[in-house]
Amino acid sequence: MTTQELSGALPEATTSGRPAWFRRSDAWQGYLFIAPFLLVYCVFLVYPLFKGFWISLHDWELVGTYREFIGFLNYEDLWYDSLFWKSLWNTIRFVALTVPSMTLLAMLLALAVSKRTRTHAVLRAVFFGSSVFSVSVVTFIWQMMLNGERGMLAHIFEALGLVPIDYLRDSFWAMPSLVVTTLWWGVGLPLALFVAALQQIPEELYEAAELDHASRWTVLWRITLPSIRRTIVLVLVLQIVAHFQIFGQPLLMTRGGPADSTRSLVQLIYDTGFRDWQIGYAASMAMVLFAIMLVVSMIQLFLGREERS
Amino acid sequence: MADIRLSRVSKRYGSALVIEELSLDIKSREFVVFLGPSGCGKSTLLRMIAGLEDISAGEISIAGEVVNEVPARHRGVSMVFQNYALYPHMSVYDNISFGLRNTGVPRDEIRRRVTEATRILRIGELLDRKPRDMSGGQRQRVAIGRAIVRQPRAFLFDEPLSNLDAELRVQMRAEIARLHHSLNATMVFVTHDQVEAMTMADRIVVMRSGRIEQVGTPIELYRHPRNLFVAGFLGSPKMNFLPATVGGSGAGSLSLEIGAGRPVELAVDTYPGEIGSAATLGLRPEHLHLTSPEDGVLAGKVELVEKLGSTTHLHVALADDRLVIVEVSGESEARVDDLVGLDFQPASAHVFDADGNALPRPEP
Repeated sequence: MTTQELSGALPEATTSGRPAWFRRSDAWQGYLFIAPFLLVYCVFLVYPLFKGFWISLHDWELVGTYREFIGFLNYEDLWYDSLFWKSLWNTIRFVALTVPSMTLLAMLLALAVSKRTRTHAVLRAVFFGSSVFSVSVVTFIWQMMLNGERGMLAHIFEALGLVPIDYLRDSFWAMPSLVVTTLWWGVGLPLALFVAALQQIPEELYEAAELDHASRWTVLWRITLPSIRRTIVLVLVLQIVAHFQIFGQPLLMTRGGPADSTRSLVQLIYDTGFRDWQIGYAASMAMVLFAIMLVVSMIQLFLGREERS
Repeated sequence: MADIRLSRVSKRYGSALVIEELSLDIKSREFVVFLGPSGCGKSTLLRMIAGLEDISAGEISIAGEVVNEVPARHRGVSMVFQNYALYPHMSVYDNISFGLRNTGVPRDEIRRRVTEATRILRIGELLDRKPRDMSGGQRQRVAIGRAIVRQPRAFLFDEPLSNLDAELRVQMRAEIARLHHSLNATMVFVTHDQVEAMTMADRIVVMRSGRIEQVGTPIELYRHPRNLFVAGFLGSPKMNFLPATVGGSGAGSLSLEIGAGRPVELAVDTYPGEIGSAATLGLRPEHLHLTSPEDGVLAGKVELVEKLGSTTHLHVALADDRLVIVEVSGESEARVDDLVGLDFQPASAHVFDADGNALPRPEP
């Protein structure tokens, strides 16, 4: 090959690499690989989302064929619906009570059982154990605990000569009861996340801190917590998103009462859609819930990006 | 600065004995290197001195005080870890000053000490950076700075250079040696790299399987290795070992019959063993020189020529297929497949008895 031939061949080799037809087929192969996921994603997530929004713009009955486009009238009705605001407030109250206490509880438990010893492994399994129960089992257990006449706590109160409290029918205690039940049920996953994060902190950091005269409090505050900061944010966001969707516990334990004091947003959506058959109105509530959770997820993405940069 | 004394120290993990009744005196202001292969217990021993590992038996004292039950923080030692162990979310300044703040040192004094340490280590411009924004060498300097500011009674280094690239390792080696000179501090340094040990140590402690094989200055160990293990561990390329038989012994001399060469007469102080027993002849590559095949004590064929510029390493296969490495100054003219003879000064040869222990020999 002459020098001229070489110099002529080089630009094409360096600029295009592979022939155009091959690159096109390469791209198609790529799309084929992600096609199954895209299909499932579109059918089960994207389509229902838009369909839900579309339904929320209608006066749409569950049974029958009555469907009337009413624009944003459902959203306007929401604005004046006191039960919606009460349910939203109940949900926010539940989230505000549950998320910090769940995060703190999971973190404290993780700090106590994160060592790689057999005893700690057994304790981790025990604490995670409650997560495997279904909501009906969990609420049944806690109803037996909290029942004002036959519950375990009632018996203890009576034995101590105190008047038992009917936690699930008391407007002050009903919500904290749901929170305690949820803590017991849901602490497993954040516990597992915190244990994984704690076990990734190099032991040498603690040894260096020991040589640096750091107290246990200083070690916790200056080394452990900053090292698991990303996991704390992740747990907070997962908890917020999960607990905004609270449904089973109030439905089975309090029926939303007393006096709607524990009625959650999802429970209201369910009642509106499937008891009152007003699917359009229920869909507008679901869209509001979706927007709240989207904002929370965006905050987590933003915090995660800031951390990386 | 303080001396460190280890007295019949043992370490046991369950039924495994990793350090066995080890005794050692480290003098104040001395630079001692623990040298040995992976798993020999050198890091464990260092961590026992630091107080990061319990002592199963024996006694460790620092500056005359028995510290077996003293927590690591109160032993007055600083440690530089293999992976630096810098606090990832703290700036360089915070990393270095962390220990001082925890002990209530006044703010002005902290600033003065950090400034001094960073000046010595030439990292003054990095004070606001986080560890993730620094190179390996810079991180290592910060780790050393953290050790310096605490003004410890002794510095402990746990393979601090093993994560650095070759060039940086040479540079940091020199810096640590310079630091020892300027701080005049007791330093204990763990490594598996014999070059690091030879270049930095006042004394080297060669370890194997939780025991000390030999303690001495680098030159003592190089010239008078106590056994085959020490002889083979120190020196690069490593010492050539040739199986031999004791042919006879006289006053201050020993006759050796080498399987792949002519018999040689060597000077030894005494030979308590029997005639006809097995022995090993140890020849450092730099003590061998090329002759014609007929004149050499050994003869063989050149199998590989490694030209390093200032020296050339020749890999020569002897008649019994045993490979011998010869270090020739400058560029050798020998080529692959050349037949060559090898000779050496008898005074430079090492002889080891059947148990692998060196026979004492006069100075070369």
